[in-house]
Amino acid sequence: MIVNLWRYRKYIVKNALSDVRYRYAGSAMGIAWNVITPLAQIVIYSFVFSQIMVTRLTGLGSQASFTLYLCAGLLPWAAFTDCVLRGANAFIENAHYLKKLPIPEQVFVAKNAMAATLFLGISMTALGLVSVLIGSPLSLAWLGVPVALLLFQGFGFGLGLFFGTLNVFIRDIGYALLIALQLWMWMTPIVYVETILPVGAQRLLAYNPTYPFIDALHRMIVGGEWPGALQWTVMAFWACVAPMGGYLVLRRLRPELRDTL
Amino acid sequence: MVSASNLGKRFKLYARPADRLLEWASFGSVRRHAEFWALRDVSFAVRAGECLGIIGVNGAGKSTLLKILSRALYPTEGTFEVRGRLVSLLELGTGFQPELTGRQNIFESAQLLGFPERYVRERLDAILDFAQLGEFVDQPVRLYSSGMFVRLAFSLFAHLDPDVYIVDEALAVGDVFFQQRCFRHFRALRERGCTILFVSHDMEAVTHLCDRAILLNGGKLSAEGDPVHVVHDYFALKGQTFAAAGAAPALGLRRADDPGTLDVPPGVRQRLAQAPIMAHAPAGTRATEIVGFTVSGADGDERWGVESGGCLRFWYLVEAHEPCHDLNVGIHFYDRRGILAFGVGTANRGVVLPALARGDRVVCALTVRLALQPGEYTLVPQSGGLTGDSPEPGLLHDRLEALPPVVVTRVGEGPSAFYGLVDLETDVVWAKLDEG
Repeated sequence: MIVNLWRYRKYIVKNALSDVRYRYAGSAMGIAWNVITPLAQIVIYSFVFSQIMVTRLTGLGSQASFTLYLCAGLLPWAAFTDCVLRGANAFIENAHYLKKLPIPEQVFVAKNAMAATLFLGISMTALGLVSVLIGSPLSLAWLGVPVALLLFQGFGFGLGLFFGTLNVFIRDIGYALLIALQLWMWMTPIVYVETILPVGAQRLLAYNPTYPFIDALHRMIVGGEWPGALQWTVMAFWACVAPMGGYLVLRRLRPELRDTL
Repeated sequence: MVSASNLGKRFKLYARPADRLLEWASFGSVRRHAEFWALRDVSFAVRAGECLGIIGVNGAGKSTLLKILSRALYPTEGTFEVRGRLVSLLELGTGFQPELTGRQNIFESAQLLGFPERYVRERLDAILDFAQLGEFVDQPVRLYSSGMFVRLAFSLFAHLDPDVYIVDEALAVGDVFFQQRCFRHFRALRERGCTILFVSHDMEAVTHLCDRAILLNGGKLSAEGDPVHVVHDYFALKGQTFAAAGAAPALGLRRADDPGTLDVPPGVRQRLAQAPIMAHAPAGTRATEIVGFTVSGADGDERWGVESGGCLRFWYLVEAHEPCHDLNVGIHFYDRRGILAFGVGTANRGVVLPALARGDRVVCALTVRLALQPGEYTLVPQSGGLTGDSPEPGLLHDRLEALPPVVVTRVGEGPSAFYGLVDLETDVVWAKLDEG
């Protein structure tokens, strides 16, 4: 899998870049929308959750740090969702290539994952800027952020590969995923602080594979502290196991995949 | 260069998507799919520099075979080997992105096919020159006309210089000038030693471009060898498909008044009894009916193709359902654009066929010299006449349609012997004038 992805690296990167460039094609402000959209999202979320729903969210001091908390989870989550959902549709969307060209299947999932990661890079940079502007300078722990993000995206890529393969055969999966990911988001402490959960629910978080990622990001971005070695290991574990599992499924079903498209 | 052994491709057909889920959930103990073998036990080999024609009716498995060879489909069984780089015209323009310009798309597509950027850069001028896009080279491809799109795609593919080339019908794109250039280029590729797999329904092209041909039928290899023979097999096959549709009437030939000197070869006799006879759509009055029809060479062997200028014999078995004293048996040849190239009948040539009583049968053969431009011609044999005392002239009794076409092939290499549809007899005399 790795060899093939490497052979097509230029294609993947180029397409991801053109995705970033052309997503807003035809608009007057063009590429600027790539920055405006996440910024607007940050403003809206922090306003809604700190001003309107303020009572439900205790445990964090200032509004500034809440904004950071919110975005530190929400932006990566959006990219992760993008990875999984677009990955799940990657084969169906690119059926006309797959039916005619000898391109390895995983290239299309990788392309989407790469595009999502690029967007994430842009919006996290914007978050860094906002963080400085609202008076909380970046700590050294920010250095770990890109690593955690990449691991998180790797996990998303694996899930995308897995569901993308199955989705070709059972199209219901794509629709079910939409609901499942919504549910998953609310089961992960992203728009709320985990301490508001009942103790039993807090214990369940340990079984949520996305929790270590989101938690690590919160620690580094909001708290300025490094996650422990165990947490890094768990993240690395998921980032490896998911693509491997996805690839195993793909390899098993590959001959039929192109027939079914 | 290319070899395949026992290639097979099975498709699983599910009536409903849920059926597949059921199969998976039961770990294969429940079977809810039908199997369809699009290809089975296909073996062949192509030497370097050879041009192999692949022919067959629609659904014979040609596309499946090509997709396997170009690695877009995985075979279910068997193995194949392609030495060197393979480019398939099946992929014509698939990699193009509408937002990118023509120039950008050239690089993008080549990359998708696994050709490095440097490789394309060296050939860029030739590609753009061939495509003749003018100013549009640096415009987004979405603004292209479909003709420009195909030209760009074709010229890219034509210049990639692969070791093995799959050409699938795509030569029929663009205007006639572009087509001619494509054929020239195609020939140049052959001379350069490029191995070519050529798939076409244009039997004329197959016979004169290919060194060898294979015929696929129902996913199986049914003939292999010299293209002319394989093309004949192809048409024989088509004829059989038609013949299978109807019951074969017993052939009790009864010579009418004039026994003539007609010697019906046993092969023809047999084929007349079996073929054509699809339950053909009623056309005309059916006062007489063509109950048997076949085409042969001078020797009586079935032949559906001939070199331009050569003769074919068209055999009819006509049965009278009503008394008929002025039977006229004729044939029309239409070219692929549907233009009547030639039509002739016994009445045109002043031949008077014997009067027939109800139930009489007559065998009649028309030998026609097909001095036509190489290509495929559709046959429409007909019977007609003036039935009883009807004053109307040229009343149509019966007509056979949906017959396989006859193929007129080129004579030798080199330029065509004439222009246009028919070869009119031309005599040339000359003398040098003495001044004064």
